[in-house]
Amino acid sequence: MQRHTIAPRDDWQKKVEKVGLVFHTLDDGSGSYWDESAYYEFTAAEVDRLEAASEKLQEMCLAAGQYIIDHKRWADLKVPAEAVPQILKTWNNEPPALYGRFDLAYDGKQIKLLEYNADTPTALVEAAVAQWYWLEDQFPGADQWNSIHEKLIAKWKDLKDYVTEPVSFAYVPTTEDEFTVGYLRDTAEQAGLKTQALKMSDIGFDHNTFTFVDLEGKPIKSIFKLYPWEWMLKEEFGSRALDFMDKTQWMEPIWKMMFSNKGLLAILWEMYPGNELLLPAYLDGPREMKDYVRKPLLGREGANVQVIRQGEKEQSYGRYGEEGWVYQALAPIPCMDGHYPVLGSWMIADLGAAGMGIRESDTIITTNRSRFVPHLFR
Amino acid sequence: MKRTSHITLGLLAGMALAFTTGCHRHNERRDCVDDASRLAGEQNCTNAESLRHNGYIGPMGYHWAYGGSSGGHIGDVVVGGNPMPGMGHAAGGGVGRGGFGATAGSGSGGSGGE
Repeated sequence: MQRHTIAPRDDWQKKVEKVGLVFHTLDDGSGSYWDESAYYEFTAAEVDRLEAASEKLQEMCLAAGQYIIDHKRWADLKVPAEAVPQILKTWNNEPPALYGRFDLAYDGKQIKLLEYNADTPTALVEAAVAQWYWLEDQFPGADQWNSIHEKLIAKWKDLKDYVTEPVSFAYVPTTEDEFTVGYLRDTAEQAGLKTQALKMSDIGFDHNTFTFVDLEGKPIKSIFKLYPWEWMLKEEFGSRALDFMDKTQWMEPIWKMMFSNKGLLAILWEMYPGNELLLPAYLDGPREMKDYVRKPLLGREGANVQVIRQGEKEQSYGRYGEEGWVYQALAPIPCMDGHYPVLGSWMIADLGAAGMGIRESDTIITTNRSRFVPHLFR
Repeated sequence: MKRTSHITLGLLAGMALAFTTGCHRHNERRDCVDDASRLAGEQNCTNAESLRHNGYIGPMGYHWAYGGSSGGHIGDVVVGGNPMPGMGHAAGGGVGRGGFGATAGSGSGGSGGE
């Protein structure tokens, strides 16, 4: 893995906007979120390793899901008891699921799982579309680990007989979320599905028919939501989502709560101690670890992460942590010209590993201010 | 090859075009208010957003209120505002809305993704 600097394309802002990446600059205007002044280069062998590692991790996570269920580890993961019956039901019935993103540390030698964003991953338009067009313009003869777009369309085609149209796509009205959901709708429509978009707050509940409804009052039978289950369950309609799940099919399904919970990292280490793709991780404290990271079980976007390294503490702030923490050994994230890259490996349901997006930070903690940098391999 | 051979965008390209040409619908009124819901200058909220993005988590004082109304003068109380756009609790025929989305509206940044 090498990091190269390169002159950005002329009018790069217009070029990425045209393909849907309108949120290329940080909200406060302090800098670019999409950064094509650099790119990462991999060898084909490295990409093959990353792909195989992602497939293996998916297999291990599926085993961990069954392990959590078999050993009733709900309290350890702070999963609300009232959600457990539907987690079990959806795990067994396998309703439609679409995607997830492993965040990996890679130093050119070791590949280590940092976490699994299995419920509401973003940085999708960047990975699937914007960096693909960047490669076409800058290195048309090179390859890129990125079949996300075609696998999403293929997955929606697979799901066509299992969903009810129109498939609703719900989002929080931020530009990033609206365009991420817009892209997913685009792939669903290219697969031949009818779709509609609505804000999370516009989802209605009909108290006469006990059904979730759209803005026209029509029942929502299949819905993709870019909104985490742990938030949904705490909100007014959360109990209704649980009570009437047989009427509304939610994507991602609620069993993804087992994977998006960072306690999964400790469960995996418990199941596969010493596995080369995992870092030691515990729920009850750092144990023997001297250099480690404390992450909230239900944290998001690098918030409330504390890094302990050689006795020094570095931390990010936020509003998470009330459910508890996972303690994970410090990952071998390399410093590349002063930047710390984290690799996001995209999984498209049973179609498997589909591509990669890279986020770069000035510190070892990846946050919502970390930049997206494109990649290629030769 | 490990990359998609060809990408065609439909709906997303249309959204992007609307966004970049100013046809994007973000027409819900928003006001910058202080903790007492009094109308304040927009720069206060811009500064607060900047602090929040830089990791500040203390009392913010100023925030956006969507969909409210006021007399339009600094210091006027804004009535009926919500912390996120589109959070109206429109009801009718036994349908309640607004039962999802509040967590995003109450915190930093508001995104449902990560």
